[in-house]
Amino acid sequence: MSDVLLVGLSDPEAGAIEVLMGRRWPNLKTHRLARGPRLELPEQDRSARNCTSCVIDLLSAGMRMRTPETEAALMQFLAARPAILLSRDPDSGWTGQPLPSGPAQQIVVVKTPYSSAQLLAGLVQILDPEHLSAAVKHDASPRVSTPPPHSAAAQTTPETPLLPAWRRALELAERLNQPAAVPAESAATARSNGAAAPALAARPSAKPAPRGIGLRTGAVPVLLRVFPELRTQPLMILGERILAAGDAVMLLFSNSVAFVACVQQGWVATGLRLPMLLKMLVTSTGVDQVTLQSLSNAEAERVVRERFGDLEHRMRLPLDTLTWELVATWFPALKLHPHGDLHLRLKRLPNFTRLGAVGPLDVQLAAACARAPQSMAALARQFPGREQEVYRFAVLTLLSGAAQVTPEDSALPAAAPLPSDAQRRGFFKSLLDRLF
Amino acid sequence: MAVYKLVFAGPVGAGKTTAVQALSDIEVVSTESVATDETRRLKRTTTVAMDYGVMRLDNGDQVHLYGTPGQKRFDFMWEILAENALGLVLLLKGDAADPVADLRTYVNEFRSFIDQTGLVVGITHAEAAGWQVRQQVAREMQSLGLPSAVMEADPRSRAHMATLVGTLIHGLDPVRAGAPG
Repeated sequence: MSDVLLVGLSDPEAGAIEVLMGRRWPNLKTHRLARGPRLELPEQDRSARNCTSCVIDLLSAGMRMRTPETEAALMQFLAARPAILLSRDPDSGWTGQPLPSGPAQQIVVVKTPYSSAQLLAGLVQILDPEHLSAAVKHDASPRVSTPPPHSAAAQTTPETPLLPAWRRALELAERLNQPAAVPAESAATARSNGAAAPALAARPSAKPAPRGIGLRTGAVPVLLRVFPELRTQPLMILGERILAAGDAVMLLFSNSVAFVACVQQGWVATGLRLPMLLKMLVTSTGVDQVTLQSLSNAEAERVVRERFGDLEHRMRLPLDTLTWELVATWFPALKLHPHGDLHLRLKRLPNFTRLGAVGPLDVQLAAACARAPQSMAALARQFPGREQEVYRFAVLTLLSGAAQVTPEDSALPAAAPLPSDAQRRGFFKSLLDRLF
Repeated sequence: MAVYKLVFAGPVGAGKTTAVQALSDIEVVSTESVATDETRRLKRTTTVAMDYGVMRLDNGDQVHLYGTPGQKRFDFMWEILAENALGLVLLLKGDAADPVADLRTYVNEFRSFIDQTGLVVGITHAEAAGWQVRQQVAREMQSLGLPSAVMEADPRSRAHMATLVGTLIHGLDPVRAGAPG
């Protein structure tokens, strides 16, 4: 098997190409001419000259743009060998006019960044003997080409009775990629416009989220209907007052500013530590001393800047995190008795790593509600003996704004254990035991 | 004994190596010096930028932890790693110029892998980031059709990494994964 000369590539990139080539051509050897301090073609030693094909990074070879001089230097360097030219610049000129190549000399330009499928397609063109002989036979075929994103050549796999796992994974990945094959430039344009790629939009599992009722659009009355015992909690009363106050609010405690909260944007700015806030806000006597002042968003920004100055950035916290911690203080002394059901869907996971009052069951419930709407009653049945933790989770996620209430028919029934999952379930259990 | 894989990806400096180290039972090694069958298969002649660690479970199963840079030119490794993979832990630098754009880039690059497995996102360097980064990333994940499994995380903290991985596991099989505790 012939040797391939890798010119001007970084070590990781050359290594990746070697692994990629090794999977298809196990006996292939490579020789590297490393990237030098200057952008120029390196000198070839004897081993380099003996290589029968090349992969060249045009930029590090000092050939970013195609000129008569760089073209002549390249052709001299190649000495009629087939090559892949890695080009960063779409206007470099290397993909325009054909190069003055020899009769069987394939030269393939691959634009960077490239995928392994694109590079593999180029390698097949220069390394596959059958492909080369076909190219000689059909002399009219273009000598300078760019590989398609997912060429048939790249998907060709040797006939073997039992394929290794990585090969099967590769084939599966390529099959999955096929419907998503779009011209590279179109995909890049879509990405640059901030749009999801077509494959994402067409993803079958991407189920449209049902319309939900959030903290600012009516979730609290729903919650209070299901858990009427919350109505008398001082913090709940204060929360309703804050929500009724509008987009932003300044909370004063004994005529001093305790915090500024912008419910609409989801932040709170305060110089007080959590224990002090708890002392103030979860007792009736504390809440009685609280006065609220409605603010516009712009006024809230101004107050925060005036109050905290350069520390403004550090004093601003996500409102959902603070709310979770405040509300969680109720629960050790509170037993909830639901009057009906709630259907929950998480807009985002609670910020678990920053919350003190969370347990593994919260993580598990959050994962379930993030994937699809869930019935609180069904979840409670799923975890017998831990119903209070399920109710607590529902209250915390709704009041912190992480969850929405969804229509009843959008919730999934709780899943029943499947016998066939036993092995994986055992693994999950072992892993979770280890983690927590 | 079954072997599962867990992949950590993210931009340079996001904390992939540290995250793998936080969970691994062995010192994190690069593929240069690893001598297991698994990584030997990935590496023929040279270093391909990748960190490697192992979690050994009480039931005898193992979770192999891989930290990869995730550049497009290494995407063939994702295909290799997809076999028996649990999913992707994507670490984003919260103080980067545009963490949401970073998310979009990684999800686009590895969508096939993510769809076959699962995804959880950790926002690192959160103390230097704005309060809004996590919420912006969550919104973008929703718009990409993904569960918004994102939280702030310090890769040095085993507890934080355990929470991320636990979220990923429960996301794969939320109820049947087994009630903890």
